[in-house]
Amino acid sequence: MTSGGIRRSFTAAAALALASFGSVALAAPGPWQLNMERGASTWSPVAYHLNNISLAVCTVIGVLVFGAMFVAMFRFRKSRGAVAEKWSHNTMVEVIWTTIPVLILITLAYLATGGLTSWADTTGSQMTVKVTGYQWKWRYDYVDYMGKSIDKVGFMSKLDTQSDQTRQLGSGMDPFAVKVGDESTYLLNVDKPLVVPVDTKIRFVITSGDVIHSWWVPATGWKIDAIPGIINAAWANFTTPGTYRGQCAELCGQDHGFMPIVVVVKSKADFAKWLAEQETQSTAPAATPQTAQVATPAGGKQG
Amino acid sequence: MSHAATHDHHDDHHGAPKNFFQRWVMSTNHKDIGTLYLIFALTMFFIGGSFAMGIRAELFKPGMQLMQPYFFNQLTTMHALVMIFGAIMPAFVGLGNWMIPLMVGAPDMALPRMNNLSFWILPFAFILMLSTLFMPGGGPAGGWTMYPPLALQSDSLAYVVFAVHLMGISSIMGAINIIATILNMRAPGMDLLKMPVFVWSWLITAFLLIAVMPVLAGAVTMLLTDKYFGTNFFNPGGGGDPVLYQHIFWFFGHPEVYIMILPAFGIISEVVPTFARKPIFGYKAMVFAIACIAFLSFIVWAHHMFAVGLPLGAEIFFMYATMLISVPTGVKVFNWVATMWGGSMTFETPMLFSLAFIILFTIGGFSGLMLALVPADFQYHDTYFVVAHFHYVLVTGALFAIISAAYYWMPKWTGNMYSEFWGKVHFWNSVIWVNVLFFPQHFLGLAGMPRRIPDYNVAFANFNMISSIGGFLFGATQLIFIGVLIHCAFFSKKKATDRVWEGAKGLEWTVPSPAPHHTFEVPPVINDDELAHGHVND
Amino acid sequence: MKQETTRSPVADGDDSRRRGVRRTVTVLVAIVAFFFLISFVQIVLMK
Repeated sequence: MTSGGIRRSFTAAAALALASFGSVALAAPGPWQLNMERGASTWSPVAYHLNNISLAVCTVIGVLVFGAMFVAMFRFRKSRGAVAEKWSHNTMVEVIWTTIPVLILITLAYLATGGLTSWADTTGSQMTVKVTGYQWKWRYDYVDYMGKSIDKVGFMSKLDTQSDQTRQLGSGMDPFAVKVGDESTYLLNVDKPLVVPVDTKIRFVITSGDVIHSWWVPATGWKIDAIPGIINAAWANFTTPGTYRGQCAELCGQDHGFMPIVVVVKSKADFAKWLAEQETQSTAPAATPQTAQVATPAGGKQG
Repeated sequence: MSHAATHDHHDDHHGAPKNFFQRWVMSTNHKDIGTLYLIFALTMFFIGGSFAMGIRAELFKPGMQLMQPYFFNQLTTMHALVMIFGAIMPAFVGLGNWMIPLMVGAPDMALPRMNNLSFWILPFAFILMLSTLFMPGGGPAGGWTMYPPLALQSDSLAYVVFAVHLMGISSIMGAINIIATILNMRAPGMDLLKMPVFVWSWLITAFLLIAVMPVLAGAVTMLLTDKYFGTNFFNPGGGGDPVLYQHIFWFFGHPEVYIMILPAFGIISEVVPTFARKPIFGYKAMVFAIACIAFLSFIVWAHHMFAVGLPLGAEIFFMYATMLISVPTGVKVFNWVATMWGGSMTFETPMLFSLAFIILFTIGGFSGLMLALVPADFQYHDTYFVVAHFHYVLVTGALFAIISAAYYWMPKWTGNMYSEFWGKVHFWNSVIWVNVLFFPQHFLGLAGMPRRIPDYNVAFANFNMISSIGGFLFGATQLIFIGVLIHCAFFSKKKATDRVWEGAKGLEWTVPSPAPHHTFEVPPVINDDELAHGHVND
Repeated sequence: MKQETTRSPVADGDDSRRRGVRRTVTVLVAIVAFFFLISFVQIVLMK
């Protein structure tokens, strides 16, 4: 099984490499992925670039400092006959190596402050979605779209059945077999995803019904905590249609690892069609399947 | 008249008590209590380590193989509590107990009976806390940070809160004792600015401890009354605020992080000059940097909370303050490198661990700087990137410094030399496997794996397997350390000299090896050339 | 080389030491109490 796993990973890695050269936005983590994804929203490159820049800065400083250290370790060895010098102070170099880091930090702080300010600006949104975390599922309520308020479009979103069966202790099922098409979706798929339109500034208002959760889709470039009694706001504007996967990022109890988030980004026309369907469905009297979904996960899993 | 002769004379009158119970349970001797602390810390290190092995075994491959998710959460919670409060902190207190009186020329700690009490509280606190694992409902599973409302769902909350109170009392008493010793018990002529950096680092750490442990006590007391006495401190239904807990907790939690690293800085500042045979570069700058870091540690707490939805102004303030810490920390690293430059270095085991500390702790510092940048932190927060970051600063940072200190002073404690060969075997295995263990976790976090999850998507399988293999081998390597310790204490034939290391300076090296039960009952005459930092104006 | 010791007993110094320790401990205990109480006061400040 393991060798199969390795073979599978290599094929997946090759596919991933191809995909990234083809400049298709990453929708889900890939095997051997080394760096943060660029994301698929207008803001997410901010986090990505800041990550790359700070990593580069740290690498350069690291090479210099560790380089000096290794030179010292080779040049000033007692076994090479080095005799210890007596000095223990040099004001000049001390001033230099205090000032240079300060300058680097000011640059980084400048970049980060700009990115942070644009993140915090949730004004001018064209759509509002309310996200509520529960142990251990998410609820999405559509509040308004293009200035029109939406009634009664809201649903629970929880781990898909295939992942849920596979993840049971001693299930004997292969996590590698959980797939949608070619994509491995083990623990990253839900029964009913959040559907949103592309090229629309979406305001998410996020809260919780019980303990603290955190709503995180890496493609948006951010995560924010869902806290009972507090409503947090954040925004995303997706640039590419696709399926984007994420997970709860704040420990919220035994099934914390099993409450994924899936966002399906559709073209505006497709989204309008989907929304109309949802609205007619919700006005129809018997919405039984949804209530059934809500009720099931609670039983028999209490730690 | 030599000092050795002085206390030989005293030893005849009152050496160590022969009775085992009297010697160890009723001890008021700083060396015996230091030994007890160190043995306790080592025991807890292996208990906490066994939890880590459980975690890494479950994460070895995707799918749940070994345990229920709830038990996994108990393991992560207990691993953190045991390692922080049981292993790292008591190890530093043990080193402080043993070495501070010897380094400042004091006969003992200022309050020897309180010293005994602050140690003997600890075993009971940990028995209480660990016993919850065997109770119906299990141990705490809401993370070591005990965030409400989740922590309030746990049945074992009252036990953990009581255990934390006990640990807090123990730490506070230990800190008071250390400050009282350093401020009042120094030998005449041991000015504050002639003290070893290790003593300085502990003085500052002790002030951090007495400032923040009471805050932790307050926070967990509020949890307790919320759960059992109907208060609503953190209950939004009653007008409380769950985020308030996080503010209070991290007001404790961030200085706590420095409590676990400042004494490590002190140790490295002792070891590096000894084996470079050159005085530490910029002694005053080193002391000042520690004080700066300690001060800044009080105004950065909310960088643990960038994702809770703080106001923009608060995020900017805490980001800047956090970034500022890298300046004094950078100064320390540069000064260590400058200490080596122009020295005459040898590479015994303590030096190897210290060199590994400098490099690997700096890597942890780099990821810390990246985490400070709020927009990037929105991605890093609560992922394996954070796990990798704090294990680099706590395992290859704090723990490596403790191991370095153990090898450095072991000959002074036992009177025997440890096996240099096995010490080096221990070092090379540790340094290789710890990187195999934690380096891939950076990649996992960047690729999007959250912390504290018992199972994961197959995309994370490769690096998790590598990390687990590194974890098992790093764990196994620490058994070599036990072997080296036992061999050194009981079987080693090679006697240690008083000075032990050629380049060693400071009062602790002027007493015989092993250090007699009582030292400096008559204060030593301070000879500035004998001190590592005797001439501060140089 | 061994450290030399002052052979004169430090009887006078011992008493001032004791007083110093007592003063230090009093101040430190006050700090502890202050920080414990302030953790509760934060609730008022935050509201």
